[in-house]
Amino acid sequence: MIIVDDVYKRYQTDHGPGKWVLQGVSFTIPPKVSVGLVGCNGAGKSTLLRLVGGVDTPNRGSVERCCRVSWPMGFGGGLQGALTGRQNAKFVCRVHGHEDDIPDRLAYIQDFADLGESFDEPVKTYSTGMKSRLQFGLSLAFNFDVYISDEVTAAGDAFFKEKAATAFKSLADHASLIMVSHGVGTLRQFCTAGIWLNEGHAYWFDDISDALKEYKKSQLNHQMDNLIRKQTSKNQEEAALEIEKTKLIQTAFVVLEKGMSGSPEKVCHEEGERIILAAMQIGMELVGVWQLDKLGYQLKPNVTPTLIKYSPPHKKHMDFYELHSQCVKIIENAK
Amino acid sequence: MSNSMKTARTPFSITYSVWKALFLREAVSRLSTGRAAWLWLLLEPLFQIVIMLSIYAVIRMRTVGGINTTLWLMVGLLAFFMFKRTGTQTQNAVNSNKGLFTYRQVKPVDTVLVRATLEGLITILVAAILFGGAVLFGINTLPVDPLSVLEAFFGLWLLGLGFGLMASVAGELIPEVEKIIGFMMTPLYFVSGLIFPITIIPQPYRDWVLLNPVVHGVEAARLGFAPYYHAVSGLSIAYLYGFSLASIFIGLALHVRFATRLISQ
Repeated sequence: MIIVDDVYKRYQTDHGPGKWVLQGVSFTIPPKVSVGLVGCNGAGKSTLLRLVGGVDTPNRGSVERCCRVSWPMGFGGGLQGALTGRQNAKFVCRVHGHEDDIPDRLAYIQDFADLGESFDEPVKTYSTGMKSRLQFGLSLAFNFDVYISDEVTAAGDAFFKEKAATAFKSLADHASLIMVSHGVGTLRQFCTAGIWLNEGHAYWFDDISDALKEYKKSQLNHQMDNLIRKQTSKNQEEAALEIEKTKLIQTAFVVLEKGMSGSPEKVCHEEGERIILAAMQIGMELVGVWQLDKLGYQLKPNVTPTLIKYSPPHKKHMDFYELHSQCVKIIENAK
Repeated sequence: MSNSMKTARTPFSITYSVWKALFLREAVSRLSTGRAAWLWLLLEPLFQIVIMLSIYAVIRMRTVGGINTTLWLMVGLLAFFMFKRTGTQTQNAVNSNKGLFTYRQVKPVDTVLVRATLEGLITILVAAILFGGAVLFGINTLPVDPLSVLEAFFGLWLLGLGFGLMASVAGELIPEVEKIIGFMMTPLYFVSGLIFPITIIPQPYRDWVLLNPVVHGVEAARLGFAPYYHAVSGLSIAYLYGFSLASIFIGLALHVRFATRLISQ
């Protein structure tokens, strides 16, 4: 059980204390419940993981860990580049007081990380994926009650993800996971509960899907606001250009064949294929439509959206639902 | 740490295993990163000794304070190296081990203490090799009073540790401190009686120079090698130890006070 009670955290910057990253965050993670942390970049996910992992201390409030908690596995942290994977692994074994059975644990790590000869090469020569394999293997070599993962599974290939999932499932009866990931699939696969971090506050959801839904909704609203601000502040042509530029930054509106009700992945899964379409209002009357993969990235990055001319009858900016229904029509027609 | 584990380790055993792990790790990276890293540990002091020795050979000074110039230079420079290497290596200990604080068992002060120990051992080894080498060249570098030599070297090591403890915190909190320390090291070299004897400095300036604790360590080390050496008057090994312990105390206090600031990124 992990009890986070009214935690406040901010960092010292070059110009005095920075803004609050976490403000009055409280939640309790029951034993054996795996939790996924969602929130936009800079929402404080990694900070929260560091606090839970005991690496950092909150400015106010307390974090109580009534179980064995792993260190937060994250990009590059805890590995020294100049030393080999094996030397790093030995170090971690020693720090955790397993001097006696280093060979056994090394064998496990070597087997799990599956790095081949690179295990004896300096870690600085590793790719991100290799590093995360090593980190994941390292932490699984010890018996923790809670494993903390900061995006480590994201970098591995499909085979490794599968391996991590199986390894983790075998632990599931006596251990749990707290993880940050931007992969919706990964979160669903590993976690049951969810925490949504927004503007320094944390919201607990018993079901990870609800957390994801809430997160996606806030993200869409935010992006919508941004686009509308851009369009009203500039003339049409400039605005069109501006939007053209931002089209690679994910989507303006994620439009699904079955609309926004229900969660995107579920809908697509039932259909047997994953098609998410993004649409954008360009200028005042054009709508661009293109395909996204399940994570919301463009399938083919440099494809210009299919431009479909559409003029709103009242010559105003379309609101979200109007745009959505228009897109559905366009998609229907394209079929 | 509220780890109510079934096999909870005592704080002492955690610290012990962290120190051991850090020591081995530091030793590996210090001795094996780069080509023949261990060779450079020897070459750096050797080079300085040879340079100074050739200058003294040019001005045809055979003895300093009643002892052989070679011995005078070697002991002085190696004693100074004991302080300087320990100090400068530990100063960067926290910064270069930042990644390790991911493991909550590792505290910043651990990295400083371990690095200082490693550096002290390395310097002792380097000194022993160089003194042994000098014996092969027919220079009498066997200490008459080995215990006082060790006492002096240990005092300088403690001073380096105290300096490193303070500088590692100060450098993290105020980055400019590192620059200031950088250009303070060269003048320190001159006022520590390494390349010319302190005794030639007239009073009252000599007393000012004697405020520098390194002088006391260096002179005491020479005295240990040759009891007939005319050491500077006012030499006090107690001053060196007092200064070191005070700086270690301040350094540890700073580490306690700013422990969380050092870990935060």
